[in-house]
Amino acid sequence: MNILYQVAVRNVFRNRRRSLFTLSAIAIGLAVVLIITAVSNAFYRFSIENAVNVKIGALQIHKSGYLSNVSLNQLSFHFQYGQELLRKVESVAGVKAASGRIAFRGLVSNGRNQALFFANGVDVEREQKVCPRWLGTLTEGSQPLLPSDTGQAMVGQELARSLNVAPKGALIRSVVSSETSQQTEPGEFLNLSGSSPQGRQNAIDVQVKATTKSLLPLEEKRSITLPLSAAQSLLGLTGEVTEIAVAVHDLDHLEAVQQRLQAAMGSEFEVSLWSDVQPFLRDVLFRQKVLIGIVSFILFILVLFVIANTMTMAVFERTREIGTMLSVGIKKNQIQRIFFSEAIFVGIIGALAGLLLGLIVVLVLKRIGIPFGSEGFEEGMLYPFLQVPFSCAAFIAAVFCAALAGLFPARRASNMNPVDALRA
Amino acid sequence: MNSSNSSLNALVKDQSKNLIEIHNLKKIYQLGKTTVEALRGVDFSVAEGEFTVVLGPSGSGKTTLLNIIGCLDRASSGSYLLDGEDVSNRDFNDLAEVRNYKIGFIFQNFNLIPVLNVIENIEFPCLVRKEQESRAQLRERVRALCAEVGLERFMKHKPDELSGGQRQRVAIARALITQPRLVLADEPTANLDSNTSDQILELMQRLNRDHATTFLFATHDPRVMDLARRTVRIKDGMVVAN
Repeated sequence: MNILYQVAVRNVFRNRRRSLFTLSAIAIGLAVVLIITAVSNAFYRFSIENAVNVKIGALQIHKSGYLSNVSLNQLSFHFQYGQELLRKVESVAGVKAASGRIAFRGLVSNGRNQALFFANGVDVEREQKVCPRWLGTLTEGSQPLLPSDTGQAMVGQELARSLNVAPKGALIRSVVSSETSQQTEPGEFLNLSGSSPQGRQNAIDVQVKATTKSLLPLEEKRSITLPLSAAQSLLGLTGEVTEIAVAVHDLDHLEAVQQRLQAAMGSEFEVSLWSDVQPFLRDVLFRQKVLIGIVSFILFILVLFVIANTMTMAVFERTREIGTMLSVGIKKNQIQRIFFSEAIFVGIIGALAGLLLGLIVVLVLKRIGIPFGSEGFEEGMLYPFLQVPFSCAAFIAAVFCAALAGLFPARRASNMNPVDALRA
Repeated sequence: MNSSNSSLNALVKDQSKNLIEIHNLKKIYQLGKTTVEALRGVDFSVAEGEFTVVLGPSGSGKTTLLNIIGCLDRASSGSYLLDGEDVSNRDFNDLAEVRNYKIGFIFQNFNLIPVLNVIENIEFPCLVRKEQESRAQLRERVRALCAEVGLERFMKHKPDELSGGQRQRVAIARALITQPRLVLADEPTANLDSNTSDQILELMQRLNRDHATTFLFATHDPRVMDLARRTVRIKDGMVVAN
């Protein structure tokens, strides 16, 4: 090894306590960045999988123009639904399953009160394959919809409470009627009314089979899920749907499947990612990533200052040594190289320790999982994970910080006047 | 024509005998609003192979003179020829090269690099050169020099494992490894006991004799003065006796 690098490396181990402090700062800084990123990755995946597996599906197929006009008249974008179409979708590489749906809005009534609702008519048999957790969290006493059901529905628990309905046999707190100021027993049936794409009004009665809980208040207050056949009957869309939800084998290659599916379906249809269908969720997750990025940046800046401080102190302490080296004919760039490589060496050791520490913590957390959920809900688990490119990038960033931190002290050392340095 | 050529040749020949040629050398420091004249027109020369001592009280300017001769500092005015070359207006890196190839330093405080062992400290000046001899050849020279200065048993020791005298021997070996034309020693015995000082001085005298290396000392030590073949006295920034 070149003598200059030998001097640099040995100087790192010269003041062990200080070097240990600096190395710890780099190691802990990098480890924290890796751990919070791993937890954030787990949360990101959990949120996406939750959204994809509970409600949205990884991809959705609509008639072209649906997403841009969804708030105006979503029902006018209906299309024929059958085995032939499903086969076409499921034959695309990467597609796991597909299921037809009708998403619509209407009024729900218990005979005395009425409220707005957002409903999903689902192909009960297929929905299970596309959104394995589509039943969500059912309240006690609820029964899930079955493929054989035709006139049953699952209702958000707040909506059910406001309309004083409950699944048969469910233990539910009865509500006080505002008109009579007397307690009434909860009913079992609701009347749903909606309009066909042509504006024809229709209504059907459904039996409340389940009430559902959700982390989103709007879901609890407005959501109704009913069998596809019931929705088709209500809306006059026999044999038709407004969307097909698609599950894929690997969420990491979603864009590729989307492109293949779009090519297979042609321009008559638009194939959207879950993030296009739920831009709010996408934006929340993006903001979270930005926040983690800012925290990581601040941590790296702190690490940079710690190294710069150590290196500046080293330059002050070794002023006479610098003078000695200058007296034997070392050049400015060689002095710079000593201190710069010392900073990089500190950075590499610290970053390696941080990488190791971070990976160990992440692996332990991945093995045991982090409980995640709210009271009363089915508990989820976060399994933190790291991607190799990010880990490498974080390692390089830590070393880069160290190099950057070494620049100024190295420059300061190289600009010393030999006489002044020897006199120190 | 012939006579002017022969007088020029004579001048060149005459100058070539002198390793150091200094004319009207001045060094002025600006300390805030005060101007300090450390050297006020020094004329001075040292012939090759000389063992010269520069004497003078503290603040007389002898260290400043040694710094300029050692190319560690530059004069404010005047000329300085080292080995026939004008080095008074060289830039920082050029001076570094001059120091590396032509000058060896021995300091009062030994000034060794603490993280390097004896061998590495000695070979350090050769290892920072752009063009280097083979490592094996260099090691051989270092071993020979260690034997010459009495450090064979301490070659793997770090400076903090050595006594003051041993450290100064390392510094002497480091000063000589580049086979310099000139060795500058600033109070080399000031931090040593009298026995060790005698040994070190004897060593330097022997090296001066055997290697024909020019030695220039700045010292207060009367023993050094006794050994010197020539003494230059400096007072108030001027040579008062030569």
